[in-house]
Amino acid sequence: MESNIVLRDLKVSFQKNTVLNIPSLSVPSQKLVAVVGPNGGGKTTFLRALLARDVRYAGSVSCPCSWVYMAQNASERKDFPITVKEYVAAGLYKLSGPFSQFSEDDCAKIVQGLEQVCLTGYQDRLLHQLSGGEWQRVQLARFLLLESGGYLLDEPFSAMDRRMVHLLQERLQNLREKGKTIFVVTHDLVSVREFFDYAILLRGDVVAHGKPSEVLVHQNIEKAYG
Amino acid sequence: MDSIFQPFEYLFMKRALAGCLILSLGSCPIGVLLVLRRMSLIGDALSHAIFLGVAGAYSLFGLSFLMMSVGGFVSGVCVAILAGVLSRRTHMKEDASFAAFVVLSLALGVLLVSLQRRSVDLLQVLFGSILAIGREELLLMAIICFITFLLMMLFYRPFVYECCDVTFFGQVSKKVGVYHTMFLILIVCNLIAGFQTIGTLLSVGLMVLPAIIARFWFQKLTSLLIGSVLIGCVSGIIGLYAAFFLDWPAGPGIIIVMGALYAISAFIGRYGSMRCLAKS
Repeated sequence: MESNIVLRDLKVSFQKNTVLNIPSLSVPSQKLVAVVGPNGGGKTTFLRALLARDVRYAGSVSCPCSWVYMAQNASERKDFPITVKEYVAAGLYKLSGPFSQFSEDDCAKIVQGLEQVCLTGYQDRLLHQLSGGEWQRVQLARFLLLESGGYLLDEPFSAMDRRMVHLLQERLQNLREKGKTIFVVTHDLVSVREFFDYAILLRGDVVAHGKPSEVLVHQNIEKAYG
Repeated sequence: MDSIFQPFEYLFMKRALAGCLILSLGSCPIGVLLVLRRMSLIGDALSHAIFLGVAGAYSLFGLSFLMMSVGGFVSGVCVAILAGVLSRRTHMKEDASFAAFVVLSLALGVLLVSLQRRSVDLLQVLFGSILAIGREELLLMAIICFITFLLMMLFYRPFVYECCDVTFFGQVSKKVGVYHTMFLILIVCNLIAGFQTIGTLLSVGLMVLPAIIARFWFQKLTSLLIGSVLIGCVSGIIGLYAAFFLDWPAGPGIIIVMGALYAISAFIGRYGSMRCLAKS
């Protein structure tokens, strides 16, 4: 049941500045896709185009799945006075609804979610006690509790060390094995070669896309970053 | 010893006390969420809008408690909705749109009341008269605060999540707008409940100050909510004593007591106070 994500005549402008212009692009779904490129290359805009929430976008996007989105530096509310467990539990809101109590099953999911991002035993810490990297992982845990066909992550690893990034990228690979489509904006080209199935190199338009080993060649990188 | 209870032998003091305690139960938890949303200024804007509505009703119907409450409610809700629309439709943040509005509605409200040429009433609308609240007022306050308390308990989870991270909450719930509007209306209702007691303009203080004070002493949301109610009650009682023995106007008295607690907390509070920052 694999079908492609197809973008046609996508054009995004902010006050006459064209940020992103993609006449036509087709990306296979159920893959771990890296979105790379220089600052201002339109990576975040690209993800938002997939979400199809913004009216300033012209063109058509067709996706075989629905998306959930984790913004860059998502929610700076690290001073919010609740525990990690309460915060992560928001990821289960669709299941729990506004009233019902969390079942043992739900609690197990939360604990498991935290284990996934190597934060075992952090349930009862308050958010403001977390370090930058831990905070980012807590957000990731909450995000991955969402049930969806597709996941869009905008620089989810920017505050983490290399070992942690590798570990979490393996987690994303596991997710892909379950048939999910995952787009990750990242600046870590080395791990794109190592972990990702597909890469899209953006600089206002698509410089190249395809297998990471074919996209991230000297010539393309020169063209995008030079 | 007897003199401690002496003030509350009078019926008007008993009512004032009941008013303070009831009001704290509804307003203070709302205030905690308001402060956490960094929306304190919106509360201020709403209180001014209510003042305008109350003043308008007063100039039309005279000193009728019911009509003034209705007038305040209508103008408050209008502004709450306007706030939502403005922040969604324009690039301006909610608070910026309101800075101008605050002074404008104050000026207009004062104008409306002064046209009646009875400045005593103006003081009452602006700063309340807790020592003169009657049974009806008390009943209305009790109903509003009870409903607020009930809704806060029922919708605790969505309120907290909407307050903490709207963007994320929007992905898991389609009713973000409903909860946001409900919250704004609750603010308006509680400001109305407070207007007879400590006045339209000061009632936002009863909401926001206990919440800010509580931030210096508690770290968890649940403790903040309970703590703010206690702080509200205690300052209410102290303020009433001041009113009785020192002949202070009760509304401003209560707020000044809270101000003193705030100053003390900022110096020696357990979390984030000057004492803590000096240590680290």
